[in-house]
Amino acid sequence: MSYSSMKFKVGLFIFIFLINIAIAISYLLVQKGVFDKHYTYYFKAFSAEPYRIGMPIKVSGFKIGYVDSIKLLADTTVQIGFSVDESNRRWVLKESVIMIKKPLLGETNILLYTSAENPILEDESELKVFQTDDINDLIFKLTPVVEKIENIVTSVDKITTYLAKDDSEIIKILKNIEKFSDTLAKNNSLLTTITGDQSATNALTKSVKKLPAMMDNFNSLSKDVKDDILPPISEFVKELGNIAVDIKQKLKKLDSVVNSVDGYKGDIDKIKEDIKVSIIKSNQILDKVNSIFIDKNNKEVTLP
Amino acid sequence: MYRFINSLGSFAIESIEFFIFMFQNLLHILSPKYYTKYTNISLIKELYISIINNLSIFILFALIFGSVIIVAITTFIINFNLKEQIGILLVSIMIDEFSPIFTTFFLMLNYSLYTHLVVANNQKETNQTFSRVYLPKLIAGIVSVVSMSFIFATIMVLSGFVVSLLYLDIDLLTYKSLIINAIMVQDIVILLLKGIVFGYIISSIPIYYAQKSNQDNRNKIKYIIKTLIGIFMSILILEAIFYITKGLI
Repeated sequence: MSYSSMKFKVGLFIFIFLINIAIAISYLLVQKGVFDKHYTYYFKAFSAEPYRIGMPIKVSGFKIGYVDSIKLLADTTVQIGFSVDESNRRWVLKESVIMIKKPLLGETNILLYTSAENPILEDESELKVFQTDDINDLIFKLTPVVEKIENIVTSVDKITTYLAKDDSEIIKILKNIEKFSDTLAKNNSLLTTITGDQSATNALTKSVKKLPAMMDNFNSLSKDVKDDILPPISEFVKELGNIAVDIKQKLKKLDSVVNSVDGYKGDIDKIKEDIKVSIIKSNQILDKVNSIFIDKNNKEVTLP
Repeated sequence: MYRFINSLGSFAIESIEFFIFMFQNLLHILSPKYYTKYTNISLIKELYISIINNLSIFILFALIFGSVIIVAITTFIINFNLKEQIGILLVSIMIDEFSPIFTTFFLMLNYSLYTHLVVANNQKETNQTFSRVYLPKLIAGIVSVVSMSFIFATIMVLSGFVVSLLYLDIDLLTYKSLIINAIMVQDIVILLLKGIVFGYIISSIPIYYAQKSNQDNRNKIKYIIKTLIGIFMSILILEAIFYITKGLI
């Protein structure tokens, strides 16, 4: 291959390579906003410890800028500077505040809270800062729980101390159980263990042994009852039924008599009234007759 | 024991010689007086041999191995549920680590051996040797590793898009924003620095051992093997140094 051809090919490669690299890097830098105008804002903190250069500033979870300077001021406070590009400047408004959120685990978050109605904040301005500390919040919330746990532990300690004493209820129960189990191990039956009397167990055993014979006797007795007593009783029940039917018929007749007597009731009442009037009049006559005998001057008797 | 101390001493002297040689060559590269008309002619030839001759096979290897690596990374991302971190993982593995190392190993087996054989066969060492032979090779090594690393990184990023589309259903816009958000300027600086350092290593070590080979005509093969092992060990050590330095920054 000739030198000129070689030179052309190498030159072409280098040219294409450099053009491509230049385009790729330019595109990357433009996309990353390196050439955009940046606006810087500040906030103050008591310590630079949780911050680092390049930390993102977030609005509603979106990165809008980065911390680009951390300076120690004369009054020992720390000035944190962050920059945002032109497109994200609209989020940094007057009355906007910075919230520093320290999670229990992981890196500190710098959040920007803003109100959409306010005008855009001027470059190089300072923002107010608030801090929430997840660890301290958690400790604050957990303090009463820890106190309760302490009380519970103290109570449990007291209970276990009491239970460990020789005269405690649980020790007594355990001793009794031990005695009971010892006695149970020594005796042949549970009944002897409970009653403490071997003769009771023996008597129960005898009774249980007699039980089959008793059951046989009962079976034979019930058989006799079935043969001798049940037929007369059934006849008696039949006669009793006939008597009941007869009584029922007689009661019906008695009911008609009672009804007829009830129909004469008005006449009887009239007769009773007449007799009553006659008696009253007789009494009046008698009274007057009496008064004549008593009064000798009046000889005349007026009849009713 | 005597032999051990003796070999340790010779190793120490050889290492010092090696570092002096490397430092001297570096100073010569930065010195304009070594750049002559013949240097430019030789440089064009060396660039042609190192880059243009190998470009097609390099792109093919980059497509195959790059895709394999991207599939492996994507599988890792799926298994460990790191879909949100795909941009950072792809950039750190493709651009920072894999591109310069793969390019260096490719050129080590190709251009370094060629350089070693050319220098070893060039018996006459004159005042013009550095300007005409060594300097073009050193610069060609640096330029080839830098440029081919960028090509490899580009191919891997494009392969990453295809694999992400097939495996993770990530469309072009999302992939583009993931990669752009993940790439930092320092990633490109690291790629550039690694390219320069590794390029210098793959061209200077073959020259060093080729010169040694000229002094010792009996063991030519031994110096070829030493060249390959020297480059391999240097790349690993430098990679570790880069990794530690990046962590410190």
